[in-house]
Amino acid sequence: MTHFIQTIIDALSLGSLYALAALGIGLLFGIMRLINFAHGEFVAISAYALIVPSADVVSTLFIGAWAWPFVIIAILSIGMIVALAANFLVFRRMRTANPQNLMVVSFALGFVIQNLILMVQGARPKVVGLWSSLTQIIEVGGLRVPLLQLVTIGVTIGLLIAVRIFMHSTSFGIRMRAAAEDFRMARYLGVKADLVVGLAFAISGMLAGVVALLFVVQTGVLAPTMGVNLVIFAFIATVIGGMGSLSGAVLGGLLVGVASSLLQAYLPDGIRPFRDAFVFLFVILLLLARPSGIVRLKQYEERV
Amino acid sequence: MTAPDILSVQDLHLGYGRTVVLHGVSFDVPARGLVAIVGPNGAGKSSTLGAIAGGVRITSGAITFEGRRISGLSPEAIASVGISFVPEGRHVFGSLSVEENLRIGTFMRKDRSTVENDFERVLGYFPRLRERLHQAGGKLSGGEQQMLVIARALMTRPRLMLIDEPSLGLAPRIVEEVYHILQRLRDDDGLSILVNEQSSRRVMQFSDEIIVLREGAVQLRGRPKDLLQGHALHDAYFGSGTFYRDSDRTKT
Repeated sequence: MTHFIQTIIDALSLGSLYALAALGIGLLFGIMRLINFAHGEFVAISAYALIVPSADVVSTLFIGAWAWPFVIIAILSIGMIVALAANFLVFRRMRTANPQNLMVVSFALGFVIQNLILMVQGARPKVVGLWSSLTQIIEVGGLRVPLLQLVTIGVTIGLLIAVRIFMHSTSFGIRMRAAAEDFRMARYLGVKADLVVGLAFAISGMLAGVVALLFVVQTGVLAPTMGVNLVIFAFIATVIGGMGSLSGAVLGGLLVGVASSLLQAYLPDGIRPFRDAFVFLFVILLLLARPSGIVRLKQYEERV
Repeated sequence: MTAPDILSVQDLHLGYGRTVVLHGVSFDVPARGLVAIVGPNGAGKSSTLGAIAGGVRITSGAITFEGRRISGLSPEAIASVGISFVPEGRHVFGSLSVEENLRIGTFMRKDRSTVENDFERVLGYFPRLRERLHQAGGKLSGGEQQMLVIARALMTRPRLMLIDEPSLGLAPRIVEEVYHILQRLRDDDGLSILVNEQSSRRVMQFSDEIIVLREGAVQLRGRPKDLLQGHALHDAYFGSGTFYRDSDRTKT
């Protein structure tokens, strides 16, 4: 029983990470029909900002050496600035482009950023010891749980509540929801396109910063391609959640994370290395049962 | 024309790709006027309103609102100078509550203090919306949604309102209700209104002036009571020389 609960906490912690990444992708998709595959590289840049840029294999903490509140503020700001810069330099100029072209451009942007990181920081993964006190195991009622997992789950719940309050109780959030549903109509009512798109990129970038921090503390490693897998799982999460629905993206992220953790824990040893195949099998089955995702939105069905 | 014009459209041309939709459309909307553009499907009515609202790019021509040139501005900029557009198909934000739908148009306003006043006033025109303030917009009936989008457009505090096909898909009784409210808005608030309608004699009688648009050009303009007599309207609408020149066959 305790093993099962520990597995569940493990699963929720991984699911949280995917949920946050999926939320970042879902926000942009909702507002501008952009499937942003560069989101993983937003995460990577934010993560690399922790260390002094160098081609050496050994890393020296830079922002990562600051007191933790400043680390959080700095990394979230960097995530936001990277996302806003991507909007300003690339996506803002192709707002009328169709979703396919936007997606291809985001792929390209992702590769460009990856290679920039490669040039500056070198290709080899670097070990980073950030906030090692979080990796300790604590005992809660007979359960031995890594503190980091509880923090990850707690941070995620807090952020989800914050995003929800923002989207429902502020004029900015209401405008973003209106624009996500019917961008053109929102503009006819005076909602500034630049404002809502900028906000979506800013929040998405901040979420990338959060994911970067949690991910680095969890894995302890930086690599130029560190965001690639994350973004693929997050993208799948937004699809099975129902494209365009924020709660769907979060739900999808949790589901994918929980599924892969449970498979990791309960698959027989011989086939455990093929865990991801089972995760994707689960995704296929889910989509066969609900082709438009868990949360169906009317406006996307009408477009078909 | 005695009243000064609030909107002036001069020699408007536009098209999509190679298809020319409007070639040289000119007309004015007098202040405190309720003007109806009528014409068959594909005449260019929706494109005309879309161009005024900034949602459709024009090829050439000029659109002037209160003496200021607005052609080329973004939709949000045009909304903020005082033109509110209700496109065809209603476009209620279905997942937002009725109240959130109404508030969207107020966020750009600088006169924050009068917003609450306007909110009450608009709900006064549409009492049924008050009972449904916290319901999702998508849950309303067709008639209620039409009320909501007009109310929502009013919340931007426009001086000119553009409405594309307000009577489309509505029961005759509700169409009359909508037009009575539009007339009150014109008379009590001094709102100028430009609507598009496919031909409907009953609807035409509500307006001060009718503009007949066919094949991307203005065919005829005039007051309803002058136009509804004789064959002029029918000819302008269908083109002269049509063989069923029976006024009973005009779509009502």
